[in-house]
Amino acid sequence: MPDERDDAELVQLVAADDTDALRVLYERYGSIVFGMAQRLLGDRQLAEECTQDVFVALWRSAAKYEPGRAQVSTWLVGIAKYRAIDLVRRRAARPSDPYAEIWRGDESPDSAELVAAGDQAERIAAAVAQLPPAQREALLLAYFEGLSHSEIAERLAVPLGTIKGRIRLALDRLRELAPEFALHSEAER
Amino acid sequence: MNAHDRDLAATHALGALPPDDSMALEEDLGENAALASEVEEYRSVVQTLEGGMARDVPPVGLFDVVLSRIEEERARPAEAPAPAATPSAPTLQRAEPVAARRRSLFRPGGRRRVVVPFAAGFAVAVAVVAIAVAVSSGTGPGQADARAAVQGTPEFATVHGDARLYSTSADDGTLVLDLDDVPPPAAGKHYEVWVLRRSSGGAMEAVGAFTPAGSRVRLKLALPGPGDYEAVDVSVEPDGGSASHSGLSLAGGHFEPTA
Repeated sequence: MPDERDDAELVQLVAADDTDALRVLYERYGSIVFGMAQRLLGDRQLAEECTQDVFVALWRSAAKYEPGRAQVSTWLVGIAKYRAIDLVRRRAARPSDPYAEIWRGDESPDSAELVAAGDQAERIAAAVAQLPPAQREALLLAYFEGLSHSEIAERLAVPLGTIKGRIRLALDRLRELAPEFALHSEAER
Repeated sequence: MNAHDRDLAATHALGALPPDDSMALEEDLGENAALASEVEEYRSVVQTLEGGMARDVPPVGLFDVVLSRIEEERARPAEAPAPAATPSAPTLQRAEPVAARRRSLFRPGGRRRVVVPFAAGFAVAVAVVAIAVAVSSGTGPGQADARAAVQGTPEFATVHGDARLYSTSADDGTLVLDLDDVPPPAAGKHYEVWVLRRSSGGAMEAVGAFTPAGSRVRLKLALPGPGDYEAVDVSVEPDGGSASHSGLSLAGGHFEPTA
């Protein structure tokens, strides 16, 4: 049974040191964070490190979360973006002068591209995170796990037609969200 | 186009149709321009996803690693005695002996790692407070030669403060570093302060290690020698690690000469 509690409620529980609530948030957003990290980092091991860092940071900072300022999903993918960019920069410049890439990074072309890629990944992940839970779940099982519609139907114990409908609604919704999140396909860029 | 066809187009574009169904649909597309157009529309959405998220699932057990790290952090405060200073007071730490600290980034040889236990901090703090107050009241090294605004790296964005250099043309030059909102280091980690001289060929030099006893940190550290100092960096280092900079920075900044 999917957990019905909303994200903000779960973050409050995490702030009270409830790691079961953290697990629910991980199940909701872990694949989005990991997929985003891997796209930015191009390295599975670093993406794992990044994903760990994001959820440890969530646990550490949950008490500071202000629901009025950002959705939990937006907050999480924002942390993931900064963490991934930090990891990329660190890997790119092991350094005789390690802070140079960090402190002068914004002045270098590579860094500008990196930040742009990070922004794009953040917007995409945030848009996906905005989908209704049932649509998001079907989409992510197909997208990340490569399950067919019949496998998803079996996994979630819902009719096949429902799964196809959820996938279509998820893609329709993402298309609608594209202007709001300034999303562009590779072909449009 | 009916809802069934649109569902099919979307599911196909996402790659969620079984192979046989997918091949059959591809054959139909040549004769059904509307369906082909619909599939293309959905493919562009999927391409957008692919531009921001790799198609890969996190490994099983990754969340257990997260829990392990949390367990480590939970255990840490229980192992450490309470800080000696009040929360609102600047917290001062002792750094490693200068001789041990004067090691270039790429110079071989182990660097002694001395992380001062919190309990030892108070006795040390009294002496260091005197020095720090003297600096701020103008009766210490005098006018600062250079100053740097210190800002946390994106991962530690709340950290901020400043660094000041005194007597940089002399052998006994000092660095005074003030930091606020410093998080406790993760279990098995501590912080280390580095400086960069223009003459060093890009190699940073470690000038002291510390474990904060609170979120405010004030350090007075001996510089490795006379020089034109460009920058300061605070790194996160594993206890007992190598003499090299870990590559993970807490905060840093570039010096500007004072008027």
